[in-house]
Amino acid sequence: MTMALVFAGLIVLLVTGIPVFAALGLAATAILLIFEGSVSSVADTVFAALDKPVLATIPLFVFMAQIMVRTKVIDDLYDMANAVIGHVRGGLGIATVLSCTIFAAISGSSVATALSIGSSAIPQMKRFGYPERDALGVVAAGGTLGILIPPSGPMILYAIVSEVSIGALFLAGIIPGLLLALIFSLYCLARAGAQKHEGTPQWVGWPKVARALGRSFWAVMTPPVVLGGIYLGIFTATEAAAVGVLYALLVAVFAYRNFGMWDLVDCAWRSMRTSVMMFMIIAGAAMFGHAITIIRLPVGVTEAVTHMGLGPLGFILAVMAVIFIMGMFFETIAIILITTPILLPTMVAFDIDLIWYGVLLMINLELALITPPVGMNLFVLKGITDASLGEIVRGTYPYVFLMLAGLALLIIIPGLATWLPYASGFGR
Amino acid sequence: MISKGDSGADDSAPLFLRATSLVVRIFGAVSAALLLVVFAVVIYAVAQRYFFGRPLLWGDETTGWLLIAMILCGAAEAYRQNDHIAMDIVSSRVKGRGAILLRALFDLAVFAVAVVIAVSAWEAIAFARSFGSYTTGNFPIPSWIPQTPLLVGSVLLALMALARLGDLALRRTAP
Repeated sequence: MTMALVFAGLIVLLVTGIPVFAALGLAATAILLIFEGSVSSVADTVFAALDKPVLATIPLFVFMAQIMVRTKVIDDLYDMANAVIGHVRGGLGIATVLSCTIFAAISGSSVATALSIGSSAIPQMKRFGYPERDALGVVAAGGTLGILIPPSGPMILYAIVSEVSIGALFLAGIIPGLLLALIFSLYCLARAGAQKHEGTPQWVGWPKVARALGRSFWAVMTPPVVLGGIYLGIFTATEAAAVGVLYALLVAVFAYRNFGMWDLVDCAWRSMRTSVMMFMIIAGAAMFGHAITIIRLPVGVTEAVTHMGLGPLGFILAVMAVIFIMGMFFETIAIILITTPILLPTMVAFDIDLIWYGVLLMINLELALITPPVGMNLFVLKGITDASLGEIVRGTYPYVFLMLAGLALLIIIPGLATWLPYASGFGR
Repeated sequence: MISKGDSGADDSAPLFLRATSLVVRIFGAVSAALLLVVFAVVIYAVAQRYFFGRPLLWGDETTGWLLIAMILCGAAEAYRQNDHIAMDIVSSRVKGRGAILLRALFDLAVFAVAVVIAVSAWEAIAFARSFGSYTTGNFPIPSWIPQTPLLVGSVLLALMALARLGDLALRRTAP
């Protein structure tokens, strides 16, 4: 009963349009006042939640992505992908997926990926006769790879809340991320084969391909520089993010030479704004997490699930279904921070691999980005094109099914996510 | 989902909103500067460890405190710019009085949470000062120092919410 009341109250607050951090904070305040009669513990809870040096990873990765976007490396990235694969039928779609995959490994953000790649890719695909719906669909879906392919802001948040190694989680996202990219590419190929009217750019020749590869060198080198440091044990995740910023600055100033002091200030300003909104949700979620622990809600969930007789698989399927539905309405960060503390005790009780669950969660959150009525990537595309929201949603439908198939595959074969981290020495 | 855009302390805005916005913007600039400081500290720590063989003992603690200061200094500016994530399924469809009511609810909620954090932070700081407590770790400092941004940031957030509520009451139209 208490559980139902708490969630009903939270949902009402969220639906009225109150900022997520304030809704979580208000719900927590109400619980604390009713059950403890005091809110004195709030400051300590918020302070403890934010006083984590590893959280610096988030604004630093955002900062790195801002600098990369500002220096226009995206244009070179898309030109490279286009030169390599664009001439094949369906190749522009594949080039878009390829660009999204590489940019995902730079930005760590799905919205940034869809926004950056979409601005270059959609006009190009439309120019060569791609149906608008297809062009929108592939960018929206390709953009979601940003949170699955490392580095990933939501992965860092999940890792911090669940106390899973960030490095292990990053590694776990690589194979599923590439698998989804492959599935999307094959779909583009099949779709183009079915639509004979679609044109393709001409093969540009090897010299131009070599030049395009050369120009995109700095962008393509970003993931190895950033992630290589983590996996070789040279840097912690926070240090890798700072080194990524340094690398992006060096590329911007010395390779691209289009980055001045004001660009630095503007990038820092934008990164601060993006990061702060995430951190305030972390603060609100910490208050909420503290409050629901006082009323033993996570334990209650574990007991309820145990009484229902659900096994680990049944529990995972039920959780995935709930998160899929939540994803239609809630924002990804909020979903991670609200659900993880509640579900964690049950997952531990069922001995569910938290790295595997983390990857399942990320794919489900990718779906959240492209499922209406609230799908961030849908809104991003609405913002950068003149397409209707309905047309964008129809374009993403095939990808929703493809991603659900990917999710099912990962549930059936957990090794797709867990093999790489464990083979690399990250223990369970 | 995310509504962006300056919440507007334009020339026609009341003086209290413009004044609050100016203070909030200044703290926003401090927040952005702190991000650069966090970056510098982490890079300095890496350089010390790999180039000078002297691992930085105070790096982690300082990064954590700087991060808290960055978040709390910037929270009100993000709110002023309407950056905070909210579900706008209902609010985007409501017009007229309903829109004003929802906007007032939005600002009231932020004000209430900010006050709760501020009151609690005040108590925590007062306790730390009276008790003379220090932080743990390699670089102990009086614990009220890293806690202070929590108070400053929540007060700023509450002031910004109040200013927006006042503006809403005067204009009687949802921005």
